[in-house]
Amino acid sequence: VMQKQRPSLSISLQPGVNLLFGVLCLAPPSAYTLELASNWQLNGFIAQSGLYSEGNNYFGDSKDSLSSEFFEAGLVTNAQLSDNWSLAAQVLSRRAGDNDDGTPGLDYAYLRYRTTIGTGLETGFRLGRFQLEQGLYNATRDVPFTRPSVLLPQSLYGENIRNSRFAHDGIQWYGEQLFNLNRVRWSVDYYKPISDGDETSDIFVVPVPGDIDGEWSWSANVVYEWNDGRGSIGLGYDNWRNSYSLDSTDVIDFLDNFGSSAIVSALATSAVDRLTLTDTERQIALGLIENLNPQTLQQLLDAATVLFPTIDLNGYINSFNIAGDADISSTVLSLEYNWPRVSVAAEYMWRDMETSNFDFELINERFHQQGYYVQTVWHVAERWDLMLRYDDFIYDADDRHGEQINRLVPGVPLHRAYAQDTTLGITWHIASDWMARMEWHNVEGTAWIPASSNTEDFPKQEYWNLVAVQLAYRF
Amino acid sequence: MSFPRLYGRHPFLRCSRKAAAWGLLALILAANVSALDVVVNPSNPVTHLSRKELLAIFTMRQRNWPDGTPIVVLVQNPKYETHAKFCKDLLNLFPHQLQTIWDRLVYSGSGRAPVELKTTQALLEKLVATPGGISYMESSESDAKAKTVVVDIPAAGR
Repeated sequence: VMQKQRPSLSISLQPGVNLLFGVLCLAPPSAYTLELASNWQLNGFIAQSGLYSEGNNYFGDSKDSLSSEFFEAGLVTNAQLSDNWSLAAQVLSRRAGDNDDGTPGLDYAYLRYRTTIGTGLETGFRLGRFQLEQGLYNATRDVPFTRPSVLLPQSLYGENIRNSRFAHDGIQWYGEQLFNLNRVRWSVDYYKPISDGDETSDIFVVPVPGDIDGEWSWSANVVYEWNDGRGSIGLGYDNWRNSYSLDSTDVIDFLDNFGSSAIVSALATSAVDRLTLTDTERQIALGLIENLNPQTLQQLLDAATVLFPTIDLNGYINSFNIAGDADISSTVLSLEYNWPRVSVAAEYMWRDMETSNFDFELINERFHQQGYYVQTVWHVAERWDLMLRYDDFIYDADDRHGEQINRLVPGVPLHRAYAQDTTLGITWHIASDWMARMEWHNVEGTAWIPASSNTEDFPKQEYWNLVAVQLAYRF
Repeated sequence: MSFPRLYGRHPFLRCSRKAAAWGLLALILAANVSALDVVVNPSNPVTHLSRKELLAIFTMRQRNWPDGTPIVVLVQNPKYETHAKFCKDLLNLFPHQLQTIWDRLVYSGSGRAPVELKTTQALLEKLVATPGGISYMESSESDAKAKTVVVDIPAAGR
């Protein structure tokens, strides 16, 4: 079982955070020390959830038993250092099955400068580690009180790349203009992602070995709010860039676990092209690959060693070093409207997945993920909300039924390529500081179930149900 | 009618005709008095606010008064009835909806929650000490130290 560590500052002091502390040390103390006491806010929350499912596990052993492996607790602080400067930070402890182990980590910490120009224009920048402001919920996705349900719509707010995409280190320019009480707000980020090495398996749906490292990237977001803020429409774009590398043990590991004749042949053909061979030797080698139809790399190596005793194939395999780029760009369109008793929200996401610059053509590929949801919340009484949502996710827009990925990696079930979730939920706002929730997910497909939730294999059941309950407290 | 007779016969409610009259008056007054006032710091030149402006201020979207003074929103403890009444009557929101708007600001780190005061007295003191302050209270509890702002409610608005 691969335990995923939340990226934490103590492990990787990213440049943005370094910069933040640098600026803090340089700032004149008189600017804030006196005001710190009265202009300092601390808020927090704690939430425990229970999950019970039928068919597949989600966050711990939820299948046919109650899993309590979903727990969230956070502390948020905001210090107004002066009229223009402020500091915000959140510490979060999150237990989410095998995806998060509950180790507290600094989720974000940034310094903000803000100034008002003329009437209604406010602009400034953030420096440090801050959240990706994409969609309606990402910036506060772990806070139960800002969500409409225990689990956010997984098409857009799935577990798979959460740890890498919640926040990033860098600088953001932002602004907002208020006119006639309508508002437009925007932000542009230049950042270094906190990419998590383990998340390759979730990005690529099959457990792909190798390491992912973030490269400087950018994102932009614009939101227009009208009718006193009751309506909002937003458009966000994020160009998340990574370098991806595999070494020889990764490759052999991968082929041992997921090798299909198609992959081994393709890899071997590709390797033959890179060897210095005479034309005759090349012909023999390619013929060998074709005729042998090798199921495993070892099988191929054994045969090749007999035929080419002079070539150090094992040495060659061991010198493998595959590196290239893995870039993920997402575009999210968000719409929300709040009537006094009914709120509706809908979001659509188009995610461009591209691996490029690998020597092995097989690895270079490009495809698109697509997700959307439509959600209605009825505020049926002062303390009660009812929610209905339809959520749809497709792993590869050109492979809606999973046939292609199944051909490439035969072990992958077809239903791993999509997920349609209909959710019915109820929220009880017990008091201003207590809240209880219950919801029922009826799902077709398993695309967003984290690989780690069903460690022995892929999730098995195409049709499955999940019931989640939650109790949350805030202060 | 049966009123005087009934009251007159109960030892508990001696001279109760008078009491009933006073009680009724008190009830009428209480119904009236329980109206809410929107109050600001006395130095604030603002005299009228529209409901839209009130909503923009309490959802923390409008952050400055027309003269540039930063707005400081002061609220009563959300557990209490006055807060719920303010949300429903003047903002047309349930308290938890307003709370969610504040929570999105607070937990994203991009804004601050309104300052919460436990008693009306504390709230009044804070309001008088804060030039950009704005709050609400029962009309009966408001006093001369705070300045009441008229909230313009469109005829068909409610």
